[in-house]
Amino acid sequence: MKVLLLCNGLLFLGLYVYVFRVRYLLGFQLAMNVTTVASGSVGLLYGVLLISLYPFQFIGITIATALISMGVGAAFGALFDYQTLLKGMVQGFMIGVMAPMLGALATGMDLFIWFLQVVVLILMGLVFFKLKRA
Amino acid sequence: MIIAFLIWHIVIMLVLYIILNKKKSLFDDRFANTVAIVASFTFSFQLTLLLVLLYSRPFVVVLMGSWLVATIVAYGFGSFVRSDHIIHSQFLTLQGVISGAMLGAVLKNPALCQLPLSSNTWFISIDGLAGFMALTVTLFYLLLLYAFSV
Repeated sequence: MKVLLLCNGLLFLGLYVYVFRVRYLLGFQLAMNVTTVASGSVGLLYGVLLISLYPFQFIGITIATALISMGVGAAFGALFDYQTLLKGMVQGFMIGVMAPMLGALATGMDLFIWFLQVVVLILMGLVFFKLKRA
Repeated sequence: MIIAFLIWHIVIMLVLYIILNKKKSLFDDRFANTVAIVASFTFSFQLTLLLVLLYSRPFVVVLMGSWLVATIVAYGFGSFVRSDHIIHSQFLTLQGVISGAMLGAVLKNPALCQLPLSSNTWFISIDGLAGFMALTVTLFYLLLLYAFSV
């Protein structure tokens, strides 16, 4: 789980660096979609993984996940404009608050975590594909 | 404590609505959409969470009452520029109501998610989480006003 957390952190860091380099080529619609996908994916994955690691700290994990995903939404949105930043933060908040509940229900289901990981990787692939074509 | 958060939340929502309503002629289409999304989701989520934490016994009544209030507020925030945004704000209101109700229900009864609740300190407690949500929603409202000014 900790390795997955680290790998996902590196994946989203890579995405951030790539988006940072091509940010002037993106329109506001694509920018908003990239920000929404990034903050939502981080919130979902980190919420599920963290609650699997620390199942006795539900409230603390909920706060931490909401803060992490809002931070990611703000970081991606800040590359573009304030409205994108705001939507990224709201999306991160929305998913970050809900994900630990999902993770708590799925505790012990490794298959579910791998399913989420594959879905997020497919989303990342789509985002990279769209960014390449931008 | 939770009643204080509820009053604070309603007051800042009213202040935000009055400020935005005065300046609505300056809105562009995109900003109106952002207002509809941010204000309706955050208001409905926070309102439902606090109401469920306060009165959880007739759950359906609390849920419907909260949805009714949030719908009226979302109509106000969604109708600044074009009525199209009302659809978006109503959908996000429903999403916020459901999310807030789920979180409130799990906090009241952690066994719903097969969770033990360890709440020894103030910060890691239900009041602490409600305070965090109130702080976050206030931050969103302030950012909304800031996004309008830049």
